[in-house]
Amino acid sequence: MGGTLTYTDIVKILREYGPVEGDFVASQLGMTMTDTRPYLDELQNAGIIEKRGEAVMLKGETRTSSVIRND
Amino acid sequence: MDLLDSLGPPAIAFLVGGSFTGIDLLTSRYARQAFLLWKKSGSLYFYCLTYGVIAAGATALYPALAHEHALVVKGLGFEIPWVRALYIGVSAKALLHIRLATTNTESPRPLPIGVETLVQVFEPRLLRNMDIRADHEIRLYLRARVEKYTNLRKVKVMIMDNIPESLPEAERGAFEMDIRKRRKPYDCMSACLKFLGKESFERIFPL
Repeated sequence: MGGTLTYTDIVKILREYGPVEGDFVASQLGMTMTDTRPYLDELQNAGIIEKRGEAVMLKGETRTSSVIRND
Repeated sequence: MDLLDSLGPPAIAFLVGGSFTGIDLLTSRYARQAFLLWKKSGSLYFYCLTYGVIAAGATALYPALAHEHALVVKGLGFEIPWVRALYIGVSAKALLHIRLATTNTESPRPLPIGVETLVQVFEPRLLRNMDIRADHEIRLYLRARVEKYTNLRKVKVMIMDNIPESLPEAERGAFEMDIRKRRKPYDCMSACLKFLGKESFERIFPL
């Protein structure tokens, strides 16, 4: 996506793809998981996203598609 | 007639491939900044040109490859050269982003293995040029407003008060977090422009 990492970009990815692994989000943003993880944690603390196992998704996500792996 | 039949389909693939690629880029990566970029970025046109040339080349080569049975694609109307050119033009970018695997997934930019490897020769550099140009154009566009609206707290309030209520809660929440985190009026305005678009931005921050 280019530019500064934003919470909005992360929500946009989760809205588009549904439940995905954190490192898929990082790769879509062109960032490392180390850089992306704090943003995911803050979004989770704000009640905007939730984590289930390896997957992250928007709160109340109803799609049950399999988790997209980054490989 | 022969000339039209031999050059027509590649020309169609070139036009469709190039324009679809440009439209895709301007409506996704630069969705709210397209008005600043589309007339000013040479890299944008080179990017479209490259995909157009690849689509035209694939269209021109396909009959020979199909004749040798090296590549056979079947689909509705695919045997008609003009229709095939449309198919190839529309799908050129998607086909060039097929990856079978990636190397080193811990890296922020892992190298894809597959057709997409070819794209790595030109795409990252062109996208980087476009990002730099977009940033430059945004700074020029925002300059007068940054000079007029200097109070960070007020800028944040003006933006927060104008987030459309019709947006999904998750998008509103994430955007509010983005604005709260910014430390300069320019950063807030830039985020506002990218999120809400030109019309809303100019209403919120009139000159």
